[in-house]
Amino acid sequence: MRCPSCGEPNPDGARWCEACGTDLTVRPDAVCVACGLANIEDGYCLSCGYKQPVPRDHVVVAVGSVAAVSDRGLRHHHNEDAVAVADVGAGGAALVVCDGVSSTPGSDVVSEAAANAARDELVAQLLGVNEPDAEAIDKALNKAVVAAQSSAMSSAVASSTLVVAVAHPTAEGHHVMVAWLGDSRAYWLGRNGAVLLTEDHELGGRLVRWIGADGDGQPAEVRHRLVTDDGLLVVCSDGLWRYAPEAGDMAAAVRGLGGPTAPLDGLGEGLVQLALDGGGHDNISVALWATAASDSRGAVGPDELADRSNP
Amino acid sequence: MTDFVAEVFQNEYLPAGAEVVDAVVTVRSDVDTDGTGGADMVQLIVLDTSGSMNEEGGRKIRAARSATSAAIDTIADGVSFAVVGGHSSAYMIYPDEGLAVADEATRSAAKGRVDRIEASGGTAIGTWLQAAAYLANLKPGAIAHAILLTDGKNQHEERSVLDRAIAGCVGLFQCDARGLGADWNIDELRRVASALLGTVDIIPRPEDMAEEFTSLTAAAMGRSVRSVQLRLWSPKGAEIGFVKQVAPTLEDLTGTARPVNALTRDYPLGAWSAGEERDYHVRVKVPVGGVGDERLAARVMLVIDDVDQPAALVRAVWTDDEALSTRINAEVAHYTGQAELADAIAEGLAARDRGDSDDATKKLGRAVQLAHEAGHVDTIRLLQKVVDVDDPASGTVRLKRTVEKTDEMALDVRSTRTVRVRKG
Repeated sequence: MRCPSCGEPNPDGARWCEACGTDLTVRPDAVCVACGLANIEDGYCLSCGYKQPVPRDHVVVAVGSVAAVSDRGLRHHHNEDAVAVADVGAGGAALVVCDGVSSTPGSDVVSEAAANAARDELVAQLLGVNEPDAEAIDKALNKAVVAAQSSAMSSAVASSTLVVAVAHPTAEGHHVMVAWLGDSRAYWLGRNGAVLLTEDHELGGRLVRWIGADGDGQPAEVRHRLVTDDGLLVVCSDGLWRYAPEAGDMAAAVRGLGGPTAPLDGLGEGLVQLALDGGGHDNISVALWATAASDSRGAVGPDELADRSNP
Repeated sequence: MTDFVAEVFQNEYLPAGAEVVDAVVTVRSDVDTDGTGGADMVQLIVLDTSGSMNEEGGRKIRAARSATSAAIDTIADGVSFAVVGGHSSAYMIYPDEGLAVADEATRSAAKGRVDRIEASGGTAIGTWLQAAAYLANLKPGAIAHAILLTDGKNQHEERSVLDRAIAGCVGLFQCDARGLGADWNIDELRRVASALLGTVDIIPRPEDMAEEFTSLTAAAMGRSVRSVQLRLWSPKGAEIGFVKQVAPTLEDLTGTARPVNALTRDYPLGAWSAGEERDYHVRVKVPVGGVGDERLAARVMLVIDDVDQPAALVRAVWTDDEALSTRINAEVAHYTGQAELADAIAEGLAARDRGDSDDATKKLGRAVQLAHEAGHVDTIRLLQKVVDVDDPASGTVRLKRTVEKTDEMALDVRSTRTVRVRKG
C-alpha cells in the first residue's frame, strides 16, 4: 500500500510508513484515485492535480422492477448521458435515457433535467392507474416528451436525444411502448425473439431529430407492442449499442450476463462493462425492465415511490 | 479590506499526449481604498546631476529642477520623501540626511534646495541606487517608490557594480527609471526597472520632464497595497515553462520565483493601486493524462500582504475531439502575438544597427503587421518614425534613411508595452 502522506510504497499490513513515519492504520477520508495521496481539495488532488471522479461519472439506480446504469466511459471528460427510472405501481415502470450532444456546452445539465422531467411526468400520469390501456400510455408518453422538450428548451445551446419507455402488465401480457427523438434506442429481448423497437433519427451519421436548442419541438415517434412472452426491455444510448447494434447482438450480450432473469442492476453494470471493454468511446447508459422482476415484485404502494428519483 | 480577482483564460482541451498548457490570468485589484499617501509611504527622487546635464545651454538642468519641484508638489502630506542627487557618487539634496515628512514647510524647503542644483561630474548609477536603498530602509514596511532620472550611460562604474547595487534594492522600493535625451543606455535602465518592478521610458525633450515626473509621483501616491505575490501551485512532476507579465508591459517573471514549498512558488508583483489590472501568461508542462482525464495544471493565487486570496484554476483536459483541442484561445493568442511583436521590434532594430537592411526591413515589417492586427496604434505610430509603411496588412515597409535617435530609442524602449485583448 502507498503511504497517503508521502506516496512511499509500503508492504501490506505495515503499521508505520518506512519513509515518513505516518501511521498507516489510520485511513484518511479521501485519497487520490490516481496517486493515492490524501490531499484532495475541491475535487482535485493537490499533489498530482488529478481531477477526482464525480458521482455523475457512474450512476446506478434500481427501483422496483427497473434499474439503470450510466457511465462516463473512457474517452469523454463528462458524463452527458442521463438516466431516470420509476416504478409507477401495479407492476408498471417508466424508463428514460437521454444522451446530451457533446458538442453543445451544458448538454450534461440539459440531459439530466430532461430525463427527470420526462420520468416525473410519467409518474404523474400513470401512478395509481391500475391497468392503463394503450391510449392512456400513449398520452402519458406524449406528455412526458413535451415535458422533456420544454425542460431542454431552457438552454439556448445544448441539446440531447431522448427515449421514453413504459412497460405495464395487462390481462393479455405486457404493454411495451416507446417514444424517441434521436439515436438512443430501445430493444425488446423476448423469449420468442429479439427486436429493435426504435429507428435512429440520423442521416449519414448526423442526428436529424433531438430535443433542446434548435430541436423541432414536434411529437416524438411512438411504437407500441403488446408482448406475451417473458423478456427484457433495454433502453440505451449509442455508447452501449455501438458495441451490440443488432437486436441479436444485444440478446447475446444479455444471455452472456445471466439472461433476463438476472438481477437488473448487475445486468446493467455488465452491459456497461461490455462497452468499456470495447473501448468506452462514448458515455454509456442503459435502463432495464424485465417481466420476471415485474411479476415477482407485483404492485408497489405510492408511499415507496418517493425515493425513486434519480440521484 | 483588499480583494483581488483572478480570472483564467485558456483552452483547457489538449490532444492525446500533449503536455504543454498555456493560460492567461487577468488580475484586477478590487481594493476599495485609494492610496492616500501618509505615514506608510516613501517617495524618493533620484536625479542625475552629472556634467552632461549642463548641455543644451542648461535646458536640461533647468528642466530637471522644475520637474523635481512639480513632483514634490504632488507628494501627499505625511509621506516620507527625499531628493537625492547623483554624479560619480550620490549626495543628499533634501533633506540633509534621512527622510523628510511632507507638509507645506518641507515641500517648500525642498523646492528651495532643488532650485539651486548644479550639474557636474560623472555618472555612477549604482551609487545612486545604494543611497536610495539606504533611505528606503529607514522605513521598512512602507510602500516605497523612486523615480530615477539619468541623461547618460553608466560610464564611471563597472557593470557588475550596477548589478550588485540593483540586487541590493530588490524588495526595498519600486523604481521607475527614465532616460533624458538620446545618450543613455536602454539596457541599463531596463535592468533597473525590471528588477525593481517599475517601468522604463525615454523623455525625449527636457520640456516633457515635468509632466512625466508629476504623473509618476501621482501614480505612486495612488498605491494602496504594498506587497502582492503571484503564488503558483503546479502538480508533482510539472515544470513551469514561464510566468510573464503581458499587460500593461511584457516582463518575464520566471526567474524571480521564490519557492514556498515543493509544488508552490511566489512571484513578487510589488505594490498595486485600486482598480489596477494586469495580465499574466503562464505556461506549464504537466505529466500527460489519458484521454478523458483532467488534471490541474496550476492554481494561481494572489497573496496580499501575506494573506491568500482564492485560487483560479488552470486545467488540462485530454480529448480525442479535434474540434475541442484545436480551438485557439483569444487571450493566449493575443499575448503570444504581442510578445512576437516586441521580439520583432528588438530584432529589427538590432539588424538595423549592424547595417543588415534586409533583415531589418523584414523584422520591422513583421512588427508593423502584428501591431496592425492587434490594433496597437501607439506602436504603429512609433514604427512609422523608423520605417515608411506601404501596406500594414502585409507588413510591406521601407527603412527610413534618416531617423531621429530619440525616435529609435522610443520604439525600442516602448516595444514591451502591450495592448489588452479586445473583448467581445
